Amino acid sequence: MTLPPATRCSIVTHASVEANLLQIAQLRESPDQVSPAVGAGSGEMAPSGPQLPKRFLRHCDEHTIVGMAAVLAAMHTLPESLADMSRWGVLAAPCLAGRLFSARTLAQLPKTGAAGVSPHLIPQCSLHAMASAVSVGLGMHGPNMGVGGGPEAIAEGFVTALSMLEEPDMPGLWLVLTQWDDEPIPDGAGGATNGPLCRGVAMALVATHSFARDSTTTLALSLQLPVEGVQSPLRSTGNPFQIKLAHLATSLDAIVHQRRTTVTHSADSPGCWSHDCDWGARLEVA
Amino acid sequence: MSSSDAHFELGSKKASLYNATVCITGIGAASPLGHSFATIADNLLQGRSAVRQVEAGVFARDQIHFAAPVSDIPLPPGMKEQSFASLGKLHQLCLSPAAHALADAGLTTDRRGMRIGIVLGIAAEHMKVWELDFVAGGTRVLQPELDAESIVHSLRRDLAIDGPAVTVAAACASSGFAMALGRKWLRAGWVDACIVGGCDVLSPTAFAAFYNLRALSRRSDDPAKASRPFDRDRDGFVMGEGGAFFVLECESQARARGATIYGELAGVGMSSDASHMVIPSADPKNAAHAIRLALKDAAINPEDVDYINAHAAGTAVGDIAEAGAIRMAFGEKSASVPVSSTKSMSGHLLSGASAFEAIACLTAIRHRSVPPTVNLDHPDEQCPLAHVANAALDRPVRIAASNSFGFGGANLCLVIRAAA
Repeated sequence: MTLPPATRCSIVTHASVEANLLQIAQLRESPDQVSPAVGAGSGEMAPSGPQLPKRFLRHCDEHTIVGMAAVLAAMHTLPESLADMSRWGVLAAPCLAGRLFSARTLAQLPKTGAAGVSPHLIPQCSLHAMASAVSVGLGMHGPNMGVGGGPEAIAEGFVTALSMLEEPDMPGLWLVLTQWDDEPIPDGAGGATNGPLCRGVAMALVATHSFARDSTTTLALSLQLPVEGVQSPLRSTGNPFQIKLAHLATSLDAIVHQRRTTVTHSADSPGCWSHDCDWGARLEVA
Repeated sequence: MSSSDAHFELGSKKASLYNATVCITGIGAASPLGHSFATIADNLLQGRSAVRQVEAGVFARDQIHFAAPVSDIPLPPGMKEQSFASLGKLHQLCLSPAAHALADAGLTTDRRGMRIGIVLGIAAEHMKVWELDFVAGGTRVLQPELDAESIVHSLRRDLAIDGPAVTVAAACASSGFAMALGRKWLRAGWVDACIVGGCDVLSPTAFAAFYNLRALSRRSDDPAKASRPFDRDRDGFVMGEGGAFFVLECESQARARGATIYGELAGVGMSSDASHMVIPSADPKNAAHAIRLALKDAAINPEDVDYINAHAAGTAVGDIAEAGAIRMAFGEKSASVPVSSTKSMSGHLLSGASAFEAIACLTAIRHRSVPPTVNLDHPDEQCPLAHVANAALDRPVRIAASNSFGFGGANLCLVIRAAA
């Protein structure tokens, strides 16, 4: 029997990472060396965690590096009961990944021609690249899939994750979201003329019924559909980045903090994060 | 009404759909082998190749390029030619088949309050948009403010649908993952119908990057002979473009409104190799696991499958890996179940391949004939399967399985069953 897709799930742990281009270069070499200044897990840091193969990220896009760092940070706080992640799936939703690599490739194209196009362009900058890197790098055999890719990627990532969680033979799912705080303006050589900051949030999701919830650290992600018969507006997005990842990361940390410091919790509390999707549904983390 | 009153908890209202039969009620395509189900089916069963020599553009290597391009993308129903012409080619390649699928399902206008969603499988949308703009003299890649909306959200508006819209990517399995996700949405009751599929577009850097990866065929003699899945003389894949879209609906609704049912999306299986970012694992167990999951999801056994549409793109490593996965998943049955790769005719549609190959499965079911693998003159001994070589095989097909694999170790198997 096929189980229904989840309408809500548990976020067992999460972590966020932010890094500028210089820090990304450092993470490229040592993605598990997230400094306390740029990492925020929902629990205590464990002394050791999973290891990536050496130089695994050397050709990766900036989003993949930051997303991977967020996953590694979050894995430090994962409960022992979920330590075996070999059958987990990975969903990664980057916003506009690959811009710097693409700009460099296109800038060089008239000079170098086809011979100068890196064979890493497609496997490392396509939408699936971050999900695949997490799957390959950390040995996860559940489905791996890129989601979104554009300004609406974060909401698309949440919606897709909620519909994937009952996949058979998949105990859990990593949802990795990445976004530049301000999109980089490429200099054509792989860098940027502004000072962009890339942010990543990684969340370990499990079906709510499959996990004994620890109310102090585990969050609930839910999706509510619009009432039947109510047409949602076909709006063109005035602000394409409807969800700011910085705000989401702050909210997740605030909710966890609130759980640790108060006994009761309500969906109306300041720590609740919600987003109204353009099709009328509402995403909520509480 | 407060905002919280305007929503209900998902799952409370449509529990009966959780195991609903999900059917294909609309087909649209923009492909190298034609733009209608009938034309594509005819070309596949006749073994016609769409591969030809193409102009690869000013940045191409100094060599002959073989590919399977799409020409004359059909105008979407009801759209003005000028409006359609103003869109980028990638957008056109998505909109045209999506709109035709919706029309084929009878849902262009008469929707009876149905909430219709869309899942678009496309692996590198923004990279392709930036590149095609650059080739045309633009600098969009340097102007982030121009990237205000993804194609799937434009499609949602173009098609005037008001359900969820999501882009998914699993490299060359992208459009199959889109089909899988749309099926989940229907069973969850999130949508009443869902447009699913995907497409891709030829571009200079894609030619260059795949060539430099040594993934493309380097043959330069006869274009129609270049794509040679499972043949011992294969030397890589031939790129194609375009794709296919479907309208999925639950059977009960489709029958209630008298829709044509082309087939049932009966099973889905997904897994990852977790082995390498490009090269498929030599160990077939994870790809075989995806196939087994799909058969289990469809509640069938290997003996029930009448046709396997293989992913086989014509790469040295990939075809052998897939043959191993089929043999592992199907056991003794792999010696007799007919297998073909229609990429030998269509080329590799990349993001659009999986959905296009679902049309090949529907072709086999409707016409009681299995499309062949053309150019299969000397089957590779390392791919010992029941190949349908060079000519269609007439036989009843009630259940077809279609494999799709992608960079990053993505494995997918879809099971498509004849309508009851």
